[in-house]
Amino acid sequence: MTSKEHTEKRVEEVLGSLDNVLKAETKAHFYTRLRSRMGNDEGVWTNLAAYISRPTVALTFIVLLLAINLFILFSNKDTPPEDSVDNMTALAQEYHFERNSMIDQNTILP
Amino acid sequence: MGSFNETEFIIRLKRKEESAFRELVDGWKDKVYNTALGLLQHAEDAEDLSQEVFMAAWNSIDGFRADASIGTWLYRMTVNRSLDLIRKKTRRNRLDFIRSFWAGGGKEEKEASDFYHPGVALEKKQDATLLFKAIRQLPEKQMVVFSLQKLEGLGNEQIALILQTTIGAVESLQQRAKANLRKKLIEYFEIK
Repeated sequence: MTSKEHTEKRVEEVLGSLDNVLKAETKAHFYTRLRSRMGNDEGVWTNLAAYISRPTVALTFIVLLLAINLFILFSNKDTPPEDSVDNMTALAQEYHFERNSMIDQNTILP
Repeated sequence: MGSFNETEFIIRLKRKEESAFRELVDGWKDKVYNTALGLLQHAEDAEDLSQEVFMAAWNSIDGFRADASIGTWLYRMTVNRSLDLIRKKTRRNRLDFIRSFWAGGGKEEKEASDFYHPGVALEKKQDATLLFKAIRQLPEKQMVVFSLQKLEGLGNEQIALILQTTIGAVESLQQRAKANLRKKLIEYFEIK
């Protein structure tokens, strides 16, 4: 038998090795294992937590958060200062420097 | 599951009857598992995937349209999910290879370990392992058609329904799969 004939014979043997193959079967108690897994997976929060904890989702969320922060930071920087506001008046209003009552206004200081 | 009324069975499944689901699993678990095993060539992955197929079937039965039989629907889900997993694993292997390359190792891309199908006779085990190795290298559709025909024993008509294609296309894929396998095996024996 020549080398080519031998190769062809082997190829045919290999190609025919799956003829009359028996079907593979699941291990015993497949249904029990399936129901148990379904019980574990059924919670919405479990699925949500699994989704959020995916690295790609978490990373995207962080990048988005940083982008929003940077946007707010830079958009605030660009707004012109409010010249019209009297800083002292604002301060006085904030800390209630003005006298509100008659007694306060007529106080005789030593 | 030949003589039973499929329409009624689907209605029972849509009503979420536990007994109907049990019948579905008992009737189809081995077919789903055998199909997944043939494509994935990994027993644990095939078991996991079979469970996922039934879970998906249970959760999406409301959306099931009777344009295909329930068996075709299950086969289709099994094939699609198996292909998704194979693609995912291929991507992961490539990433691992790139990582090891940059880490200075430059190791060869990890090759899947030898697969022994439990249904193959002992004297044909070595040859079958070689054939499974060659099947792994086939293009996706050729691999699916060859696997469904050889391992699950499905006819061209049913394979066409599962893959949502024509019988002619299935025949063509079968011929190309055999030609490619022959070519790969000749190469293997000539190098050897």
